[in-house]
Amino acid sequence: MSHDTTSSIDPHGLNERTAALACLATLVAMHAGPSSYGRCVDRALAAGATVDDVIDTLKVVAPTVGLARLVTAAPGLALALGYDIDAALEAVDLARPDEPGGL
Amino acid sequence: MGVVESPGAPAAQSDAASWFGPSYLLEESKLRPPTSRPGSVRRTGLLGRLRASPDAPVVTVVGPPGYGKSALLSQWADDTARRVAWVSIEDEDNDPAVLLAYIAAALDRVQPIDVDVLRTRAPPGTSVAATVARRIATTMAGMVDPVALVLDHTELLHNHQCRDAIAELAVHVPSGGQLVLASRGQPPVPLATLRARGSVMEIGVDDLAMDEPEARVLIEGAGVELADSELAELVLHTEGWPVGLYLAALALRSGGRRPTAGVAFSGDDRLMADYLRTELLSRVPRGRMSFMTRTSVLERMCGPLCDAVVDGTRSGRLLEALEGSNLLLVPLDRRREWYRYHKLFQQLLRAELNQREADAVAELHARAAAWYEANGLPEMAITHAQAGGDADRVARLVTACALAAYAGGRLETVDRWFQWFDDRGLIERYPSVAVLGAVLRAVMGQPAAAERWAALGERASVGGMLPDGSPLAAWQAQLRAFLCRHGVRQMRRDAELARDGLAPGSQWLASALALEGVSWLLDDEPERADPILAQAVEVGLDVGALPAAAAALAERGIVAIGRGDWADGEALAEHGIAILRDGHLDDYGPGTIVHALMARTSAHRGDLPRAREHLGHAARLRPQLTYAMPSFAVQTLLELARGYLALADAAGARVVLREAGAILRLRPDLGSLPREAAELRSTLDSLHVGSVGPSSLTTAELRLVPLLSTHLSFREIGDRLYVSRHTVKTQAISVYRKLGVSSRSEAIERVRAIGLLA
Amino acid sequence: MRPRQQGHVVRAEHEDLLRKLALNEEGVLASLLGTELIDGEPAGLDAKTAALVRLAGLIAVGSAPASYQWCVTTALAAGASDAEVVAVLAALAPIVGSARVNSAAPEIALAIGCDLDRYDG
Repeated sequence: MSHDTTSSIDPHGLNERTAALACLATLVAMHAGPSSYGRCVDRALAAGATVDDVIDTLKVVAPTVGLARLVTAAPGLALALGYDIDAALEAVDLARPDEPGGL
Repeated sequence: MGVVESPGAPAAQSDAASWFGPSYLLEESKLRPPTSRPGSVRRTGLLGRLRASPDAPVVTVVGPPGYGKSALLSQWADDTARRVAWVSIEDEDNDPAVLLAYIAAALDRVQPIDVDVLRTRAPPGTSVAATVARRIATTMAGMVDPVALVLDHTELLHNHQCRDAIAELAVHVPSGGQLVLASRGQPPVPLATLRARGSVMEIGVDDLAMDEPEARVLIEGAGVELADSELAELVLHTEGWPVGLYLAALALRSGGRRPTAGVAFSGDDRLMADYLRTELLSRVPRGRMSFMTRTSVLERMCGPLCDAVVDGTRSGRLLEALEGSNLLLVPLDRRREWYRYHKLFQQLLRAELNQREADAVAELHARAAAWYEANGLPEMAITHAQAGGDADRVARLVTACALAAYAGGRLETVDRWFQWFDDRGLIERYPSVAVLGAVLRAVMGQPAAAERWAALGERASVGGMLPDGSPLAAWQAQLRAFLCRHGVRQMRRDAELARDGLAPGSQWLASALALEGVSWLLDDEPERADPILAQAVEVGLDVGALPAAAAALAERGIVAIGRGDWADGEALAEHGIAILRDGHLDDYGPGTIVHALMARTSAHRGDLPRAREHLGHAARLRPQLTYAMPSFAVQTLLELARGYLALADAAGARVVLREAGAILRLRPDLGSLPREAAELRSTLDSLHVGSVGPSSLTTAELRLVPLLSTHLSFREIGDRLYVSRHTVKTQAISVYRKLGVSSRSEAIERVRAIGLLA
Repeated sequence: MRPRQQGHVVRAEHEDLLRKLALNEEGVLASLLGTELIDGEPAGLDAKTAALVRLAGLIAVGSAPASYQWCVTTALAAGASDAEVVAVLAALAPIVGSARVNSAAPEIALAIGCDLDRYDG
């Protein structure tokens, strides 16, 4: 898969932000591997999308792509945003010093 | 195991010791810091550092032997504003039950506490770390004055459960409290985590090494004068290693030379040993030398014991004299009856012994074993008999001690005693060991091991008496009845054989009667079962076989319910619960059936919260139910299914039914149980599907829950459970889902809240 | 782990949403999809069959372990036997191909409790 060919081959009418979010939606629908999300998310955020926008994209396509795709996409998408779900599921929150350790 | 009149057997007995029976005595010297010796150097610098960080929750003091860790902490114990609870770890503490007993006793000495809160029973293969750590932290938090718990020699802790418990405690030290660990190597705490929180203060080799001023104090305290340059050279060569300095001083005092290179700890051991031999030990009179090397096989020494070991007569005097001449002998009590060598010195003496008289070592251990046995300390005798390879004696002593140790909850200890035979391929040679080991493994939920040991025990045909006076054949019959490999009818025959053959006061009699009774129950003859079960209860209460009595009560309860008498059933269940509670048998696998029954009777009465409570308690114990005791396990699981059904929890019922089914596939001939399971299954089929919740946790997931409740990583948990990290992660996700949470911390909170964790 | 994008904060609510998605958490999925995942009163198929059908769908499109797990647990709770769950895999193999089935099988095995790499003491 190559870099941005859209702008050089066939200029589209979408602004960059929308285009990037559309690509993101496609990744979810196409069962893309976790590594694909990084570039796409970077592109979207660089084009002015917010984290809310990225999450909203997920919500928009949800009924269309269905459960299996959403669940598969979540870890990769999260990682692209900087949130390591794998680590989060394993980590135990440390308590504040004045509590006896959440016991 | 009579009362001990041996000299200086540790004096005051604290409550915690009573957990393990009337003849078990805590070693008092473990609960005190080592007495500081005249001429020991005050480590002012280090004490100042410790004083400057009074609030560090965890302090680690790490360094090779001879760096004065214990001495430093002993001085600090006098110095600090906190009350100090001290435990010197030894090998026996590799059993959570024992470790907790000492920690409880140590805390109790600071301020009277309810030691029973800390009472622990940890079957091998389970994990009590989270529970234990919480209880210790809560106890410490509840004490009036801030307390520091000091654990010396933690390098001796190799048992996973114990290490995990300490690690967990380190992360949960209550505010105002302190956990101080001294160790030769990496202490069993999650250093990275603690460092990240800034909650650990670390003292290492570089800190412990002595500088010249300290060295001078030490040398002069040993009666030696040195010029500055000579002192500097000495410090350089020893790298500030305190013991090295001390030994050099002793050598110099008795006319030897200063060491040249290589007398640091990091130096060659051989060089150091050679130096000591030529400069120090060679000047010791041969008689004394022989005495010291021979007694180095002992962890603790008193006059009579040494007399026995060296075949002499005036060891008591000699010990006093040795202490006086400062040859690294440490008194253990005020009456100067018990001593031990400084560990490092003992190591050197052992090496000497191996060089000079290697073939005498076994004999020395044998003499020690004989003395301990003759003086009513059979467990110490086991240690020496093992060290000396005296399998006959080990077999005799283990067979005599195992049941009592098991009853008191020292399961890891018992496990190790039996493991010793396995490691040496000796199981077959000692049928009593094989049979007893098989039974204990069966009740501890280790089915594969139980089968293996049983096979080895069955092959033996040697007769002879066992410690309770029963013939071997009776115990073999009892084992067969437990394992129930060939159906209910055979189980009855075996139980009857056992019942007839067991000696009158035998601990197994109640179980034999209970199994006989159950065999009638499973044959659809409850009226024949009930009187036998009643007898089992009576006998069990009589001889103190409480788990068997409680289980037999539950079986009677099942009979009662079967004829519609719920009130009677509930009364029997209450009685069973009371026995478990008073006997501190909350974590006993065989108690699960009592909880199942209690759940059913509570639900029947409409007391749903109580029913759920007991089902939750039973869930905790389910991992101990295996095909090793198939009739018992399946019966219990079916009763649990009925309990869940009574709460309209179809999902929960299905889970336990599936597990019953798995055991039934291995042991199909269990009387009425297969039919009952099938009936329950069709009942469920016609039910509205239940929602998946905590009651849907499988036994594998329940095994994971206590470990999830610690700070161990998934990979470390995988190591404990012998599965891959991936499996742990997958199971953890399933656990979260069933608990209705989405993170590990939430899961921990939830399992506590619903009683899935003690 | 990628560094956070400059100025872009992933809030706790986002983390919760993504994490629960990764766990195949029914609540968040239902709200995203706009529909309940499992009918309380199944009109056509009985609960068990519906669950097994769902499982087949998940295998066919290829799913995350958490999804398989959720579905198998539901099927078992609805009365499916281990054999029936395995039968779904077998029935699908010729239809969706062995590759899909083989990648799903280990996770499904784990979900029905085959501790494939467990040592039993």
